[in-house]
Amino acid sequence: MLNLAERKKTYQIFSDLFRYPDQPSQAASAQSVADLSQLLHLDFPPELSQVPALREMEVAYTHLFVNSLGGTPAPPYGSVYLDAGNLLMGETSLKVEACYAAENLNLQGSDEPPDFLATELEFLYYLLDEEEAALAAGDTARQAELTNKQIVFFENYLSSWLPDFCERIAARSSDPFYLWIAEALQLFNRMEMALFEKVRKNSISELPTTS
Amino acid sequence: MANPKKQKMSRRKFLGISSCALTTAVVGSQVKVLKALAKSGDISEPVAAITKDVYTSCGMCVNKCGVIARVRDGVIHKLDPNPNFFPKSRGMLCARGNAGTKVVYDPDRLKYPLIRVGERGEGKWRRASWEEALDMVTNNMNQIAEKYNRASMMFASTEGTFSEHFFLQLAECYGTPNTLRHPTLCLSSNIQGFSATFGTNPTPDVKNADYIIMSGANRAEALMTPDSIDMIKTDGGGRRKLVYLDPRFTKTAAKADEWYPIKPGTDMAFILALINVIITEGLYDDDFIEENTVGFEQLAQHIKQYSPGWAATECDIPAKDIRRIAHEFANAAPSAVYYQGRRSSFFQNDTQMRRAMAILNAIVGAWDTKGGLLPNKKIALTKHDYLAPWYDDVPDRLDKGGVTYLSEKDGSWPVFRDRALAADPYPIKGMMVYKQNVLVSVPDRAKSLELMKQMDFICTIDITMSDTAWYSDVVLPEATYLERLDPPENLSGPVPVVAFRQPCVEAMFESKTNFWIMQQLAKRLGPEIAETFDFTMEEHIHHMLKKKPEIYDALFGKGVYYEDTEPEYGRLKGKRLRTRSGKIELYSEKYAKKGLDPLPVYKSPDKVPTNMYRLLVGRHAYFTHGTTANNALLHDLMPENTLWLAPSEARKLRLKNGQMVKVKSKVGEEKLKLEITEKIRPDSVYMAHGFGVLSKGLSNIAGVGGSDAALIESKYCPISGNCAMHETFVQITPA
Repeated sequence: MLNLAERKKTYQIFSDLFRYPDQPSQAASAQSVADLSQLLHLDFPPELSQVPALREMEVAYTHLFVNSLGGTPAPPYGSVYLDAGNLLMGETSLKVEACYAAENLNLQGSDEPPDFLATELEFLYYLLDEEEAALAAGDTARQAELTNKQIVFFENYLSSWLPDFCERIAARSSDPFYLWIAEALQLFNRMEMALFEKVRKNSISELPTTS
Repeated sequence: MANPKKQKMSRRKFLGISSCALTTAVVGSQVKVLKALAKSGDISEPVAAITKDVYTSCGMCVNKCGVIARVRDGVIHKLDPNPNFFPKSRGMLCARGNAGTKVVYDPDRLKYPLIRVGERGEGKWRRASWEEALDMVTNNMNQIAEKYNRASMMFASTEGTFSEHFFLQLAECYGTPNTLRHPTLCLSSNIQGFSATFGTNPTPDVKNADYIIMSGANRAEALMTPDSIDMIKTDGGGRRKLVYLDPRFTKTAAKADEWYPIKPGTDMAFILALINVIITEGLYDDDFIEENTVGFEQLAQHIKQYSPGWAATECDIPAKDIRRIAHEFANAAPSAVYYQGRRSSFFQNDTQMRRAMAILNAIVGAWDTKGGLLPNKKIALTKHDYLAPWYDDVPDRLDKGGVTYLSEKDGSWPVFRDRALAADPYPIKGMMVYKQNVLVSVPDRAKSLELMKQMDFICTIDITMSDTAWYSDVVLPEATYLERLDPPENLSGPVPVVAFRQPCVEAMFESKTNFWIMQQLAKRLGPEIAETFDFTMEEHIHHMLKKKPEIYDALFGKGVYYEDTEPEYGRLKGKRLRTRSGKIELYSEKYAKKGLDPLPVYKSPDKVPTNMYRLLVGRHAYFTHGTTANNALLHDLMPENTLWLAPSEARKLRLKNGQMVKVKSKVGEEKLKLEITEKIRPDSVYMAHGFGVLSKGLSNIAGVGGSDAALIESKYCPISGNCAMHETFVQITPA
């Protein structure tokens, strides 16, 4: 089971990896893959010991998530999976935005709909960051509140569409980099689900803060 | 006109009215979380969700109906019709109009500028910043100008966007005469045939006519707009009657009082026979002809050869019916109209066939009168004048002289493409495309692909990954019609209105308006061109409305501006028409001087070869041309196209309903599902337009159905340059 700092880091890495790649993110991706592999105990294929060149990543990302072969294979937007009609900006997109607003967060840095995968992962990173601060300040009430927020957000707006999303990547891509990332995301999703399930059952009183 | 050698007269003056753009204040400092999310320093400012109703115009087809967008929590919740007077939409919105929300919220929509990475058509793309993409476009445009000539860039665009004129302005200012618009894939022979007769292409007052004949004009499907309902409703065979001719039993046939499965390409024979009966039996309007027309004597002589008996064998319509219809038509006149339809790209003789229609309407006095043909009216808006730069070495249009009457801005697609492929008289090496889906719309797709192959550079501006975008080098995402402030559009007609579009929601992702894209390209092409686009859209709107500022309030207040609610009949009575003689030209002196038949001369269509079928194509109520078939809401209604074949022929070919068949023409081969139906003549097959796309970027329709553009040969009307889409024969075999 991952501790708080590890979960926070994992969300950060996934958030970075599901944004359109640029030079810095490409440069950081070798480390990201190594970190994910270690955090999730998931081996990566030998060809990923060297991450793809930026151009390859761009092409693969555009193909999978922007506009491409066979229609956008895996649109990285929650409403496409959660709401009826295969639409952007569905009801759940607005609810996701409301979650951000409730934390006094806005989307100034994005042209994407609120339920863009990278942004949702960023939001969970934020909640974990806040939880870390609450923990440091010894504010257990706030910590519990943030745990609850993570569970609500994760279960309502993210967890349930990730398997479909990742399977679409697996079905429509031969790119080893994103195939592996999708596999890792699936695994992390299951780990988070298991963790939250434990919290729900009160088998642990709070989320683990240390390993 | 678009000759770049000519300088425009005056520079546009602006009123200096400030922009209406809304601004939002950001309070407090922003602290970023990682990338997208930021924390505002001020937590006391709640963000109000935007809930509003916005007047705008539909963009799903060419009709431009009035729409109210119901925006709830910042999202277009639904689209409703504008209940205010709007003659084209009459308080209704069709299925396509309702599906407009899907255009905005389609996960397949274009989101960011894309630059091709792999081979053309391979499907390898990367995102680019607007700056990089725009630089690449203008660098290539400049290179082509330098290496070849400015005329070596072609600009293809489509109608209905309210922004096409900006695209054409860029073409003119860049210095190419080679703009390719939609009319030669659509109605240019209609415009030519009717204008040669009346000096204008009038609107038939179908709504008020007592007797209507439509041939091949499948109004109940092909242009199923709210006002279509007025046109096709009958009263059960009493006062109002609709006679319909079509080789297919269409929805319009189902609504008609009489349907005749006419032999394709023989409509002119039917019309000439009606004229024959009306003249030989003295059923024409003598006074009207005397006062308003020229050439009746020549017509009367010419028409003698075209008896109903003769026409019956040509058209497969009994002579007694032709005679009776002629009597009924003349009796109902002048409240009787032979409706010319919209798309007229049928046969190579199309202009002369439309002339015959026009002449028939004229001899019974069905002109400028209730229930007849009505000259269109327009509400005058002020044009945007600009000074196009002067280039000394720009040649004429590539297709100049290719057909008798070539529209300088529209060009003729089939003629242009042939010359471009032969680099005759000069090469075409660059292609700018604005929402025209060349690979789906222009017949003989293989040739269009060849054309694209020979390009040094192709840029497409669109909202979806069309086939044409798929084969481009740079794809620029345009904001959809529900996200744009578009200039007012003057919709001419018997009851003209002014419509407009305003953004209902902010443009999603990094999509931009065509106007913004043109401005950015212009800036990069140099100060002289940039100057012609140096205004805001708000300034442009105020400029257009400066003579009638009240239009502005009407548009924003109720979504539409109009001055009349009923047609003005007899408006041109006693006035000179825009023909040579100033009158209705039954006999065309103009045509005679050009060596064309001054009166319509009938020629039988080519016989259908043994074991082959005539390919008929058509539009339908769900999709608009090749542009909306990927819309999931509409796609649900019609997931693929089929090949219609008569049961007797299916038996001969031992084919079963629903099986896949190969359809082969001289220029292409497609596979699609067979639909065995009594709704088509045994000598013809039919398939709907808009399927069989090449682009895999349209997830609903990629690999589904067959493409008519891949099969149709590129024949055309030599007078108007309009494509002749029903002159292709095909073989059918099991797939």
